[in-house]
Amino acid sequence: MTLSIREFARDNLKGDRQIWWIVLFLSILSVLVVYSATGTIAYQKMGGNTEAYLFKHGALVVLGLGCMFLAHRINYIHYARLSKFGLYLSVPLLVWAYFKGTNLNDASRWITIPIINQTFQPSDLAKLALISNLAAMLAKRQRVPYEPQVLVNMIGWIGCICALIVISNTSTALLLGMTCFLLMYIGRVPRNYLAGMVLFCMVVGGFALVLGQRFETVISRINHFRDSESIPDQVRESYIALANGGITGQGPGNSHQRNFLPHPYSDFIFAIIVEEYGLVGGVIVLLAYLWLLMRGMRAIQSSTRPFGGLLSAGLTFSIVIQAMINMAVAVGLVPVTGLPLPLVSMGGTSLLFTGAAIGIVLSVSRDEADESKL
Amino acid sequence: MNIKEEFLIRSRHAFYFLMLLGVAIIGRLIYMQYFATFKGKHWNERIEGFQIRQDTIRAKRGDIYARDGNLLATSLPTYEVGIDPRVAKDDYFNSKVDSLGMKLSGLFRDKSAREYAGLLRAARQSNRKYLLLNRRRVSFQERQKMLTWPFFRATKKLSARGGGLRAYYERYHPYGQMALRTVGDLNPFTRMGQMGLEASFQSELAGKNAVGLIEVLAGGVKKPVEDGPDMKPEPGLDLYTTLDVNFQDMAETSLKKALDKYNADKGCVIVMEVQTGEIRAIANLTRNTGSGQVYIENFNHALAGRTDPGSTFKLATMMALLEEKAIWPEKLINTGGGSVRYHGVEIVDAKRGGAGTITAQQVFEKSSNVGIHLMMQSYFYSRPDLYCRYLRQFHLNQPTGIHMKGEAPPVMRNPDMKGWSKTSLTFMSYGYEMQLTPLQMLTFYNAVANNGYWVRPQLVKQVKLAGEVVQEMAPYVAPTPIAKPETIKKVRNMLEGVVDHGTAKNIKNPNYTIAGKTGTAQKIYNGQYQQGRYYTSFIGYFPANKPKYSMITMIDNPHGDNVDLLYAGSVAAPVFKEIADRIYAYDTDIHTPFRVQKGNSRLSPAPMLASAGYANDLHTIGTELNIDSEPAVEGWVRRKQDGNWQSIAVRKDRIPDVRGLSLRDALPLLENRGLRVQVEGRGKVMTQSIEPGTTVATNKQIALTLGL
Repeated sequence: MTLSIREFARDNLKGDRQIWWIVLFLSILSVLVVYSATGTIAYQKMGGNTEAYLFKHGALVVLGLGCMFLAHRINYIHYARLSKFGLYLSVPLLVWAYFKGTNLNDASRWITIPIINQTFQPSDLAKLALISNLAAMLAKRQRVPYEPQVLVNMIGWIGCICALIVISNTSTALLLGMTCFLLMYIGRVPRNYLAGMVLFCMVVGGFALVLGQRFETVISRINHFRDSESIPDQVRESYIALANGGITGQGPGNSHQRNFLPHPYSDFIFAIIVEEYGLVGGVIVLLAYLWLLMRGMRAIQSSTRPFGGLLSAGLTFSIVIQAMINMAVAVGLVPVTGLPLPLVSMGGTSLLFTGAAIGIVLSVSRDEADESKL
Repeated sequence: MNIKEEFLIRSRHAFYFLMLLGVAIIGRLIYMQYFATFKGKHWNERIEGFQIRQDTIRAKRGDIYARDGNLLATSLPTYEVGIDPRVAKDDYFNSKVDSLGMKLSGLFRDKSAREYAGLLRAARQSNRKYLLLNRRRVSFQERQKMLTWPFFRATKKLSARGGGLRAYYERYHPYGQMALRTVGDLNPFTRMGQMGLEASFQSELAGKNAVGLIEVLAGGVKKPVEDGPDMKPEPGLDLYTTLDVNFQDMAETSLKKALDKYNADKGCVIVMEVQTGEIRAIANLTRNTGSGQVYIENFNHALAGRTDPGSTFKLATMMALLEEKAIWPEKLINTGGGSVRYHGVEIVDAKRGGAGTITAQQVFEKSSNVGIHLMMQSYFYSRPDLYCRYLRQFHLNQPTGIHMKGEAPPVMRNPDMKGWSKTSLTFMSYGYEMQLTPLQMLTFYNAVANNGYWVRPQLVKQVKLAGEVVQEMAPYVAPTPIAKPETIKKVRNMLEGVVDHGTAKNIKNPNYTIAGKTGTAQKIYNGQYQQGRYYTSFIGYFPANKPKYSMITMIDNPHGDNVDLLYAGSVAAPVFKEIADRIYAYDTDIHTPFRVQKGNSRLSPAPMLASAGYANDLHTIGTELNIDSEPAVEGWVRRKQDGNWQSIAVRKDRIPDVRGLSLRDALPLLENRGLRVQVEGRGKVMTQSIEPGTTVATNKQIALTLGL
């Protein structure tokens, strides 16, 4: 049996083996922590059926791994074109979500897919498409000097997508903007263009924020953060969870704060990880993400052509930055954002798109492609 | 520097940046864990204690049903209204608290809306976990209404919750006091049955409470601690009794009427099905010494009311004598002047002046104490043990063993017992110096009615769980008869004689026959049997030829001006008859079928009453009454001479043929054509003044003669 699994893995799971291990580790952790963290909500909403969330989440984790598997089988060269298509698709979807989408937690970020009745966040798709496309655009411009209109095209897309996201979800937009900026910096975009881009994004984003749904939330969160006396309830409960965890934690399934912490299975899942697995567990999880980032960046060195390296680095950066921000929120380093911990938090589309992103990273690590056709 | 290297250097910069962020996160994490304080306390000291407590979810107690499916006792929930004022969010609380106050004030009507809102605000201010809104618990209907109220509405949003309705089950008797002592009641503190069936079947009815540790979460949601056993109580089992609400009602009504009439102390009625021993009714009424109703059920006389049965016990003596062939019904006994002295005790007959020389049968029918004493003396005085053995054989010295707590065992003397005297047998022969309950006496009579086969009385037929039978109680019939068939035949003849021409001839009726025996026992006051203070009873069965029900009626200490009218024949026997009459009218199974006499022209052939009508109506009537001669044709129909149906032509412009129709059918037919109808006589239309088929002229008058 072990032999056949090993054979299966050797034949089918291509690419960087270490990334596979990191994802597997985080997925198992995800199922354990989410099962524990949904214990309370299961009693509040499902009449005590604790397994309901376990099975749903477990299925989505497997589905996410499936996405990853499929994505890693495709030669990454195709993602250049696919990403363009994804971008064109995500614009109307974002607009649709804003005007007609399902409203959860006072923000219309979701679209309900009719038949399977699953909510879907178009921003997840937009994020993936924009980063992939940006990598492709940057790769094409490596050997030719920068012309203003090329940059306008790039910045135009970034600004446009970020503006569409910021009207309903500020932190995702900010995260995406940051990732793009980082990617452009790595992709050797001249400093003055970068400064221009930041300025542009801030102006457009600022307008969109003021006009959008989330302005008040952002202001109140920032105010809360600056005022050390009035710590928001959720952060307070998160601190208690961290402190309760100590060095080795209370043990799996023994979280106490899951009963008090809002969204212990998504936004504040890191607090539950620390509470149950202690400081040790928290550091291991953080290191796992940094390790993932290192493996993602390795493609830059190993690939001979720029697209693969930029694509791989861009996607891993986007995942790891999000993870870092989520953890920073849990420990109170940054204001509350509402970003899930990628690969770990419960949440349908986030798991699937993160899986797909890792799949692309794996695809890059898997083989060399002829980038001249780009 | 080539492109790749620059990529690498730049990405390394970014990586270092994130690594720094990671270090910052870990630093901050450690700081929060061990060093940060908030309002002077470390974070791990601020951990809120669980609200863990032991919680009991009470099992729903089983219901008690009558035989006909009516509920005799059930548990209805009432709800305690409380609220956790901390749960709702500020804006929700502030906007809805006044509306809730108004609704609470409207429901309980004890405080104003403002007072209620004030209570809620104060409780929230002081961070109270639970506020009991009113001591009164609300009913299920009120609860349903409350579930639409703010804070109580079923919503997933915790921010709009907090209200709690905790169920408490209370025992409810849909028929009020009916058979209360038999159905039983619960101890208000232990919630266990304290008498009757509730006590006797406590373990079946109670079910199993679920007990476990729970955490109380925000909003009052309960969650078991750890993965303990599921907090699911096992519901109690339902009892299906043999009681029949109709019988019970008849018994209680008649008994109460008699108690009122005679201003008696107490009374009891038991109705039992002969072959199965199933008790159909059991009524126990006692004069209420407190306020309220005059008679209430507060003691189960049927089961526990032991006393001297009196003359009804003569049946046992008679049977013992007949079994030994010591006497025969036609044997002549000289009862003399109705009084005899024996060992210093005077034995007196109720009938003053005595009955002279009468047969043994008449001794029983007229209930002569002297006669019984003489017969007893002639045979059993030399064999007291033998007599006592017969009493054992008649199951008279043992409790019946009915599945009910509280049955008093009989007290019956034996020759080797302390207190046995030379006169014991005499007194015992007509039902004194012993203690028996009405149920024990009835069971004895029931055995006689059941051809000598003793049947254990039973009150519970089935134990069910959610409609599924868990336990079926089969009737217990003793394998050997209590007496020889010829003895049974003879005493049954005597019992019929009592009603036919003996002490209970006043209840004789032409419709069905009753067999039974009166019993008038003098009551002991201050250690003396008192004249004029009686314990009257009548035990019997009906119909005498094919007994279906046996019954005892007992009226204790009736009062009246004429002492002679306070005997069982005048007091207890009429109650028996009244109840028996109503049971006879109710239970048509025991009716003798009518025999249709041949050649009676009034009955055969059946008269053709409905000779015309609307086919649909006739069809409905026919189906209901199971008459198959329904018309096969549609619309208005008439029956022809040969018994077939023929449709009546109905044309708008012609006068219809309404002969044979009822007026109800004929009127609309004619008036719809603009005719004015004049009616004469009663019944169905016999003639009509305008010939059918003639053209209708408006406003014309038509005269109908009824009388078919």
